[in-house]
Amino acid sequence: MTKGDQLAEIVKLIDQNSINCYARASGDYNPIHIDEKYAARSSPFESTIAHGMMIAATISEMMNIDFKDDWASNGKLKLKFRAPVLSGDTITTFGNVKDISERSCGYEIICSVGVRRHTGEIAISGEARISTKGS
Amino acid sequence: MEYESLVLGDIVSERFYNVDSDTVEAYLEAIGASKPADADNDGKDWFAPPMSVAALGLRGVIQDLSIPEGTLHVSQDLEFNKAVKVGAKLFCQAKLSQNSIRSGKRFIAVDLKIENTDRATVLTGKSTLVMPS
Repeated sequence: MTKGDQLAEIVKLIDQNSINCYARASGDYNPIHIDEKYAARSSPFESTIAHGMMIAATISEMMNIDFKDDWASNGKLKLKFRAPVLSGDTITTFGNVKDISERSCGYEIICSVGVRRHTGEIAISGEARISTKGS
Repeated sequence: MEYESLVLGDIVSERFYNVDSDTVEAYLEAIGASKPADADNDGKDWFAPPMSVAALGLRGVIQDLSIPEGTLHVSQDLEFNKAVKVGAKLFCQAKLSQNSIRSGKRFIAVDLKIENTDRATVLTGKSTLVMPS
């Protein structure tokens, strides 16, 4: 890997069924995510929105493609949830290698990462770091 | 819950979880991913996605803090220290690190720490939530 390299892109449709499924898996039943009537009435987004961690998981999937086991054993993520992902959105991850520095036991790779809605709006942005033996 | 009475450093959640095969498979289904093709059927020889471990840590926070309707998750830091095998038992602890009001909204941050049965830290993180006014 070299500075400027793009990371693998992941594209997903986020629908109400997948949001409900994530609510069950995470135990987060906030009606802003799962109750369409509540969301239409009381949410500033006028629609249900996906859980931030559900969308953030796609960034972790992206990192796993390029860094495999190293990601699960020493990856670091710093994310800001900038805009909601609404039910029915298609999301796409993005990422590129921002910096690579040599360390005593390998390399530290810093990547800019994020998720974009199909509207072009950035839903999540942040940084991922990983230590790896090879660059 | 009276959030104004929470003090920085308070332990707001402590829970034990089994990272069993059903839990991880439900998580994988929810994020539209699949179980690794080489995963052992008894669920002992494959690793849980690190974000599934983070989601477990947050599960206790959401429930124990009685997070109100309309709460938004605004930022998340995570550090994965050790891959977690499916079948592992984990201890998750969350400590309050921010409790403030800004523009009429309450900002709550918790520091997460997740350990395995050897007391090795497998994940740390910080979650920041904004509660509706």
